[in-house]
Amino acid sequence: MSFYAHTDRRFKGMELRVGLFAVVSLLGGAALLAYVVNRSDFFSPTSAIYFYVKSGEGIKEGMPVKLSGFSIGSVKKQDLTDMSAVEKAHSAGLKGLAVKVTLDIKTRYMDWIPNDSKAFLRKENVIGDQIIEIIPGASPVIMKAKEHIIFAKEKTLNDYFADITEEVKKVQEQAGETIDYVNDPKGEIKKALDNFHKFTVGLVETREKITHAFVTMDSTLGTVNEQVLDLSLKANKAVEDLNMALATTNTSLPRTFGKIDESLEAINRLVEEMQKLVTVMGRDLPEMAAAGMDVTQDAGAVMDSLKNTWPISRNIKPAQGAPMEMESHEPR
Amino acid sequence: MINFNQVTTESFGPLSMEVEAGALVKVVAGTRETAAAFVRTLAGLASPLSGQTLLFGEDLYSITEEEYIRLMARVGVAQGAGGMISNLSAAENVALPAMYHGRMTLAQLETFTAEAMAALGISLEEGEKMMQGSTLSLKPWQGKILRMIRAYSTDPDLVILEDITSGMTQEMQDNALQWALRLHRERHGRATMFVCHDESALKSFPARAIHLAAEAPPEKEED
Amino acid sequence: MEKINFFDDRLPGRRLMTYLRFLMFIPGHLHAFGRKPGRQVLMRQIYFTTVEQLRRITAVAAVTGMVVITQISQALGYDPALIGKALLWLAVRELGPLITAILVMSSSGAAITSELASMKINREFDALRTMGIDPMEYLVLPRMISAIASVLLLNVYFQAAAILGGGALASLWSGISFQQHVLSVFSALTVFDMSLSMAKSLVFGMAVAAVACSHGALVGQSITDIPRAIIGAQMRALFIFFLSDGLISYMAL
Repeated sequence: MSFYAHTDRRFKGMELRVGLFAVVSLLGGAALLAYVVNRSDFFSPTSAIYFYVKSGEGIKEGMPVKLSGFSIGSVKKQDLTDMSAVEKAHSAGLKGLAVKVTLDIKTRYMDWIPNDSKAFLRKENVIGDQIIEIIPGASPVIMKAKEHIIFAKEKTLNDYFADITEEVKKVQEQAGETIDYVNDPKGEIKKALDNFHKFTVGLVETREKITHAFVTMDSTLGTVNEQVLDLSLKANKAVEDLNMALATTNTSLPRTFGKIDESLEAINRLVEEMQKLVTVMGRDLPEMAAAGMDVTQDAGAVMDSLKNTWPISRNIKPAQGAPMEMESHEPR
Repeated sequence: MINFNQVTTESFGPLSMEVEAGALVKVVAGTRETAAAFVRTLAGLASPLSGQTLLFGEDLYSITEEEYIRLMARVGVAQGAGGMISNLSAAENVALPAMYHGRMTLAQLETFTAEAMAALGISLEEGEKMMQGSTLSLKPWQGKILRMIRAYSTDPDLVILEDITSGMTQEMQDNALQWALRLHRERHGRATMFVCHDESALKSFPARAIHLAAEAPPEKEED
Repeated sequence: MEKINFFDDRLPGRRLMTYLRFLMFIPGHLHAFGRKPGRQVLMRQIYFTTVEQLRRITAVAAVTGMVVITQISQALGYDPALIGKALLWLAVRELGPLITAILVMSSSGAAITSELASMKINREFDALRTMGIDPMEYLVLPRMISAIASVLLLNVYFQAAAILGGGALASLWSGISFQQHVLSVFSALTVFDMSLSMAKSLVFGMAVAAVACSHGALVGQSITDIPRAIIGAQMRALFIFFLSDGLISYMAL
């Protein structure tokens, strides 16, 4: 018998239950912490590299740094710097105040970063965070700790569209100029065509007059002589006119051809920009690439039709192509 | 050990008294409310309107809480009513101060409680039943018995027993007083104070009597 | 420590100072648990505030995880990586500590306030003092420690239950294994997330401790002050939870 023995059922084994509860939760929390720390290489040594940028907007401390999609570090800190004190090789043309961004890279991944690598700021996913991506360079020399890395701001879709718009504008202007030049009533082409027309009419008239003169030769030699003299003078004038027209055409046509060359060059550049855009946008924007290609094809078709127009077609060499391979049994 | 210098409260006063170490005193209050008020004032729970209350040489109402707590660890108070902790069982209430201050081990407490029950004429079964229940199920005299055991379990220098005999049978009253007297004599230097409203139960008790003022101080007349 | 008297809470800042005083009482009085009765009270309080709340917390957490999965899937389509992240942001960083604190305050906090208030009014605090036992050390301190511990420990259970519950529902819908779902959540977990969650739990736990105990221990002298103390403690604790949640989240940005 005992006066002080506990009889409250709630408290039977209470210490055990409380102890078990506390131990399970503490152990569970500790195990999870150990797993997370181990996975995040919390205690791994790191090396610092840095770059300069005009504005630190979009860059945050702790932002992940990735190499080929693999996280290798984070943004350690950002500091305002006076670029006048920074050596020219690292300043990337920045002047005045700029931001020095220091990256913390896990030391064991430094071997994957050559010293000519570049760092980009980009968005990871549709609603993902922004990250710093390092694109390895080709140099055999590996970047060391506390060294400078080049920062290149990646072009966004807007930048590409702006470039394409500029090139298209140039092509439009040149095509417009070419068409205006050809259609100008006071232009050399028109004049040359008018001169040819006049020459043709003059020649017909002259031939009729020669015919009439030979028919009426018997009537009076004297008048024939005078008429022959008149005819020869007119023929001379016609030949001089023809020479002038030819000379004008010779000078005006090369200019036209030159403008067309410029237009073709512009279109070539446009095609290159389109290709870059297609490469960047990749498979995610096939429609845009297809549209771009359509524009290119249309522009090409326009230029093809221009090329086939006389008198341009006569002075442009056709493209040299390899002969089409044919099946041996196909009739030639 | 206790010094009251012109202590005046709403219930009694002015009172001046001195209780020295080893004294056996009975304080006759006149009413239960006055007795309760006196115990609260003496225990440092109700500040008097005027006067000085010294316990073990310290002014109870001028010291810090820590010093007060340390002082009260030397005192055993058995209140006439209440005084129990509601979320503890009766046994836990009795064991609390002794275990808290490390004055007794559980085994020693078991022995002490058994002896107390025997001295008070309570059977072991009845005593065990009393101890295992909750404080709400205790009868008033049972509560007084348990508070008395609790007060003595810490081996205090001063014991204050409030209204210890009311509600008890005559036999139990006698047993309780005899037990208190025995414990007083066993511990040299211990002062024991009985506070009662009615002297009749303690008439033959060999204790010095202190009578509190019969009436409260006259109210000030309004102008 | 000087006697704790009834404070005048009409003065701005006095209540906050009182909460801080209660919290500052903890470090200097941990020696009270060197005594067996003190440890016994602490053990009981932890049992009542944590172990007995476990079933409720687990059920609420599992449902919370399922609700998160459902809402995210409906809004943004089913994407395992996105769902794992969303579950982590919500269950670990935000909802875990907050809901745990609200549940603990509404149950254990209310019980602590009412218990201390009724003990104060019934003069049990005085009874302890006459036994040479500091009521702050014996009654209040264990309840404060248990409140802090319960929010901290139950938060761990809440997050685990939310992730497992949400993962179970997601695996039913998607056909992707439950294990893969759970691993995708854990793989997105960082030290920062865990630290933020624990920091919030600690602050909320201290708020529960200080508010519940102070409102109970400093109650007035009338029996009608008890319900007022309970309601006042609940409202103030909720305010402190949301305010400190916002502040901590902002500082963590």
